[in-house]
Amino acid sequence: MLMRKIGIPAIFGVFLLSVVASGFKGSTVRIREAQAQPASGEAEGRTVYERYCQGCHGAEGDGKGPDSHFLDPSPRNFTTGVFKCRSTPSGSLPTDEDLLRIITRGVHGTAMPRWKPLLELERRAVSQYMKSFSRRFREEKPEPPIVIGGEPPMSRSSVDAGRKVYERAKCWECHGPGGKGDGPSAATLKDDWGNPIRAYDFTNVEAFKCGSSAQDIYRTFTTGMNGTPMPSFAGAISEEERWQLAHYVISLGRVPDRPIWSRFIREKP
Amino acid sequence: MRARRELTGLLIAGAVLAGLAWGYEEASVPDGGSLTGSVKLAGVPPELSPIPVKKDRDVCGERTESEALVIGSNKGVKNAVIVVEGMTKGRPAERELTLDNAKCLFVPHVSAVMVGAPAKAKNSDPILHNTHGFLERITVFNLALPTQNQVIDITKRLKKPGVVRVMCDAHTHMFAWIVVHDSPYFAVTGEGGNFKIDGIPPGTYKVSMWHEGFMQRGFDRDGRPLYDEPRIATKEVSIPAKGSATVEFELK
Repeated sequence: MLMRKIGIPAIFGVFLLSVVASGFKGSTVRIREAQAQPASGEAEGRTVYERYCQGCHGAEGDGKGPDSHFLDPSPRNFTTGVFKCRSTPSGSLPTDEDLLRIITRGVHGTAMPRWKPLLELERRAVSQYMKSFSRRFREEKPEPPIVIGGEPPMSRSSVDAGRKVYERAKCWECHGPGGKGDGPSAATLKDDWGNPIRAYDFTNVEAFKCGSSAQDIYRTFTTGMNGTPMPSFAGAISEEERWQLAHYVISLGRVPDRPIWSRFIREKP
Repeated sequence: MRARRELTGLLIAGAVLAGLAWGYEEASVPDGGSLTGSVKLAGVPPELSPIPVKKDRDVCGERTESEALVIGSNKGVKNAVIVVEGMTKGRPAERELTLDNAKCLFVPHVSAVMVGAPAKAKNSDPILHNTHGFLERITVFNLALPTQNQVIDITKRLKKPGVVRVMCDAHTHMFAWIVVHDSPYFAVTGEGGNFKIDGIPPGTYKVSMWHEGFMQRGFDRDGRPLYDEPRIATKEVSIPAKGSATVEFELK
């Protein structure tokens, strides 16, 4: 019984390590190749995709690779052109920079590792190859990114103001009064594919999918997360209120008894 | 199955027309004709069970009547959408759309709008709604409306012709439809199932009727009502100069 409890996370951990390790190993090989000959766009992207991405995201980009069965949340299906983490308005395709950022950072709280060990050249090439799986990228253009202004300093008063915005904008209906993801609407939330989806627990500060800096959180409020029930609050609350809300949300994760090392595993952009 | 294939066909046609929609040219139509007609239900109207309300019952009530099939006098079907297809030139878009969240219902339940015509989402209720639109199962907008009387522009979100299904993630009983068309030649049937489209340049056109589908398939685990696939029928109609043509659709 004990073995079984340890077994599954351990196997999963080994799998993840192997994915990340293959990324490191690959990058050295690729650096040599890239120096030898310049990248050839799509062919380069395809090579990178087949090597690192296909196992989870599938040869057709439909998120149904052989390893996808072991993953929750499921790997992204690229054929729909729907991405959670973007700088563009609700419903829009992401920009090239958005895709590069996701690949570079990885997606917290999921099996998607950070691919920073790959060359930027390779990350850019593979993001272009990803786009080829969805006809939306041929038919539509991403809308202009939202503008993120200067962040006012985080203070006790901005956090307090943010708490009021949290109540007024009804964030608690899904995310819960204490930000633990247990609000009255949380039980019936579904993603675009009809799968149950959890409202985010803000006390888990390390795992914001689209990044955990105030700018990242501000961006997520403003753009919403396509494919999920998280709506865009652009037009619903002011820019000042969004900064206050970001500060409040950050404050929810600052629990005094949090181990000191937790700060070091926070992702930097 | 067939209905789904037809719908897919229509959506693909819509996507193709999206390219053409760029080319829709506004012009005066001095010799325009009109199209009138009605949509009627064939057979006995099914009993549709009310939809239970799961949240905010103080504002929304205990349950709502299903709006999937609204029958008026003479078995006329309200909320069917009629579109004239393949129009590349004609009168300008004159209508705009406001999709209201009022007493926990989307009002109107079925609407139509031309690509690029002003469209807004509104919340008249003192509670949070989020207006979440899907085109071909893909989110085209998902907007939080936490404040009473808040209005958010969705014009740019409706840039592709097709049928947008609208839901509220906060309230499982709420749903609505927006038919986004590539020309201003469309109508939504009224109480008696009647419609009228004016100012159509003379010619022979395909005219299609869309209805959301109404045979009840029960409820999903969250209490959202399930109905069968939308119904689509197409007829060919000749519009005479300065004259009038009629077309009748039967919903089975």
